[in-house]
Amino acid sequence: MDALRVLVVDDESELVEALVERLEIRGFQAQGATSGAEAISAAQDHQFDVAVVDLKMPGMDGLQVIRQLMKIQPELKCLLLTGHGAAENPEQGRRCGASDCMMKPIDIDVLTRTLAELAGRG
Amino acid sequence: MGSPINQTLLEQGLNFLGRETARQTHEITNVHNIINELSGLLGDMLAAAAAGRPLEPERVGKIVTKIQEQIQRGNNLVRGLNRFAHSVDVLAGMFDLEEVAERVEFLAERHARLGKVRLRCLPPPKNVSFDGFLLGYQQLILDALDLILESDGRSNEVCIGYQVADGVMEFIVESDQPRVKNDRTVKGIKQIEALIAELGGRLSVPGEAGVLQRVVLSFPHLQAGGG
Repeated sequence: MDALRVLVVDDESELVEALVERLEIRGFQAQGATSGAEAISAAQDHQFDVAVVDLKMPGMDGLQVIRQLMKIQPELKCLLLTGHGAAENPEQGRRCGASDCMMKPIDIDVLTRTLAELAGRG
Repeated sequence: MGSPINQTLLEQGLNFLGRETARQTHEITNVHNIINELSGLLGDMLAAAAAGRPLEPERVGKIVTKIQEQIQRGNNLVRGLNRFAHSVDVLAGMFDLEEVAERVEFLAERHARLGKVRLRCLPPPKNVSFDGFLLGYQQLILDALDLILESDGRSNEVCIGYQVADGVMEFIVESDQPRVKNDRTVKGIKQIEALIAELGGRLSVPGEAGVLQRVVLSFPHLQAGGG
């Protein structure tokens, strides 16, 4: 079976680099983006199965990024990451097209399981 | 300022304190999240080593350095947040301008980062103390910064500076590029005007109508000293 293709979007570059590497160790094909614009550009050039998108980012926030990504790749599943888990975030995320919402800090085992489920391989 | 702080100032100050504290806790959470991933990565490498894959000491060293940098970043954030929280120890009284500038610089970093601009904070004149409401001045400068960041257009750099002359103190927030006023700017100007009036100061936004580049907060009646 082909590796799941994951796009990780967060403005903290150290977090993106580490998470991409950890996902690759676990057999995912992961790519990072540190802004909404970078994520959109990546989605225009490459096909992904799941995008992991941070909510709070400078410029375009996570909800706007998800909307744009889904215009480019309507089949893409999006997982919204939130830092503080405000009650309205999951609902807001779903309205914007996110399939699921997860609070940071990330538990890598929960994340990998969720990614597989979202891509229909759970 | 000479008179007791009124209810409006207190409410606005409390609101500002909560809003900025929440913003800084987001930054601290970011630090925790990065350390979580970097330490997780170290764990992954150790697990791989236990399974027979050679450990790369240089690579491990780089990750450890990144963790140490994040711990330093976290310490700076906590120190800045602590200093900011102490802004309410004495609500109104004599304050040093440098004290205001230090706290503003700490808070403004996140505003600038989210607004995708470089922040330049000029050092204020030394040994200038004034009688006032510390939280109110910090809020006004941050609001002036947001006024620029939330207007239309782009800046590469926003500069925060201070001037004191003839008993008049000015806080100046300036973008390197002209921005265009929008609905948020108009609303923001009204809010700043209301707050600065409570503090006995005046807002001026020089330049053409519809354009925003420089915001000046003047306090003509401050009992400024030193210099």
